[in-house]
Amino acid sequence: MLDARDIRVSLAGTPVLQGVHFRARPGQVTTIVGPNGSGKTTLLRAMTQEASYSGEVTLDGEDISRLPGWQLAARRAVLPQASRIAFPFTVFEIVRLGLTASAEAAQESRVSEALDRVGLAGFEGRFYQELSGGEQQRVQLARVLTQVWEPIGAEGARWLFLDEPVSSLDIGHQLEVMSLLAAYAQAGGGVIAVMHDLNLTAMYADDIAILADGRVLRQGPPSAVLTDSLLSEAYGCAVRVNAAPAGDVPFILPHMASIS
Amino acid sequence: MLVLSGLLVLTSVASLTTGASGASLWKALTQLVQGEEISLRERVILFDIRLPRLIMGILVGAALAVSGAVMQGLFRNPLADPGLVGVGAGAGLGAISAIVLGSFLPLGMQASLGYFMVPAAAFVGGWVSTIVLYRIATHRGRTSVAVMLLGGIALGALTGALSGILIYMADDSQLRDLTFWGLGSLAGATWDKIWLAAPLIMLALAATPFLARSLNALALGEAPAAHLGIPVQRMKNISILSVAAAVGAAVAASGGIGFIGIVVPHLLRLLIGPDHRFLLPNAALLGAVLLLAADMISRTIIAPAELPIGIVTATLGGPFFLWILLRNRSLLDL
Ligand SMILES: Nc1ncnc2c1ncn2[C@@H]1O[C@H](COP(=O)(O)OP(=O)(O)O)[C@@H](O)[C@H]1O
Ligand SMILES: [Mg+2]
Repeated sequence: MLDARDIRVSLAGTPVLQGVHFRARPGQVTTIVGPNGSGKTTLLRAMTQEASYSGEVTLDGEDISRLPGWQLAARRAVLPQASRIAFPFTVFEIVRLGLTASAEAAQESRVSEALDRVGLAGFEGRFYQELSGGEQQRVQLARVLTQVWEPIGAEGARWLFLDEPVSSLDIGHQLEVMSLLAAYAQAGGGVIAVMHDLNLTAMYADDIAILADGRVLRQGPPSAVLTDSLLSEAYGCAVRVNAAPAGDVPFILPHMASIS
Repeated sequence: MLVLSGLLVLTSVASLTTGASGASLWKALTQLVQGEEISLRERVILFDIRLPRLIMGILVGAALAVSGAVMQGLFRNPLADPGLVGVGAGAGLGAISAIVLGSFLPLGMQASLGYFMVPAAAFVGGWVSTIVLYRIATHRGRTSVAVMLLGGIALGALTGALSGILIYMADDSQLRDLTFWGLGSLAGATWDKIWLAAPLIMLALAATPFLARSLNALALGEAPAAHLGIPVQRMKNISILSVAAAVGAAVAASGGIGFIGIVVPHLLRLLIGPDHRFLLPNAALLGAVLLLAADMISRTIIAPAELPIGIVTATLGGPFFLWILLRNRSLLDL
């Protein structure tokens, strides 16, 4: 269980998060949604000690800022929103970095296995810098996966913290990656993902926190959060939540007429 | 790695047998290996001139190349140079102060400090400027690599200005000393200097294998490296102090020798890739080989006189560096 209480962050003098409460359970995909600049990335950065914050973040009851780095690295892996690499490393070398940080004693064949899972089999020898944005994003995801490969370790559930993990992917790979994350949660791991796409969120999230102006408007199951009024309030435009004829999964269409 | 080790042995032997006194030393060396007696003159040249020079060359070459690789990893920039931690500028100011102001010291002190005065002042100057720069760049326990880079430029300009004032005050013979010191040379290598420089350089080099994994992770950025469990601040401390010690000792012992710290790691990244676990030990070997080769050129090209080695490394290193740059624009991501 990850619990963030009363998180406040100021960047360059302006308050960006103003008392955010957020929690996530292992076994679930928890997503953070909200308009641009609402503080999604900042919340993720606070919960991973990248930004200094006031408030408290606990992982299974332990204050996360008191845990040593190597112990945190064994329990959670973090995917940043964008990643540039300083030197011409190969895909294999990048993914292997996750393996060396892992608490598991795994063979290097794990690297290929992870690449296979994100649909990049055979990319081991390619230069990271010579890949497309979407391919780079999946290499980073493979690296993060090898770091916490088994969803449950000796110390309890393992966690994935992901900032827009599918933002540069085509629709096929979006579904592939989201299914992979859902399977990770199903097996007992915790997944926290900042999401841009509300329809993918509706399809895969078990729990959704919706942010606006540095506050959580509501956190709960999709049925409680993906409502016309809440989404319209958060995003500042009229949207209507619908259900596809075939299933019970809601989908969101913007209403052009009401934006103007 | 094996190839480079072999190459180092070859250049070492070549370096021992090259120089002003000619080919007879090759004979002396073979005699020595076979256990025969050699003349006193040959013994002196071999053990008191050539051997310290060889060892100093290996130490300085390895120190500069490894420091370059560590700095580039730390600054996440393939163009970073060991000089970036402020060591070069500070050491230069120290050396110039010693050369110019040394003559104002009481004669007794001048005599007791002897020729150690310049290297000692260079070392102290290098350390002081590194510590100052490090303090400037460290805020609330976190060292900003970007601030260090820019602060280094400011500090370099300041020490350059101070050096300029001193140079203005210098007389002709001091100017000549200054110029030669600035260009670097292994000619002054003695056992005494080695006993001073070697422990520092060895200690710093011994620390670098522990940095390899951290430097690899740092290529992703500081935050991702921390998420991989790397103690980022501690590794920065170790890197910067090791580089300051190694480069400070190297510059103190042999003056300003450029380009080894940039060219060697570059060349190796092209040959064996950027993985620091292999890059750092190979940089030590290749740095030593290249510096010995440059030293042999500097000794033979205008024999019986000697060209300062800094001129050789700059003449060969500069164009080579440009060539690498132009060929690899896309991979360097510049
Ligand atoms: N380094 C920074 N300095 C000042 N303001 C920042 C910084 N980073 C982000 N912000 C501001 O904080 C707000 C939240 O940013 P962020 O968390 O990145 O939003 P998003 O929800 O789109 O991920 C934005 O208004 C942004 O302009
Ligand atoms: Mg964001």
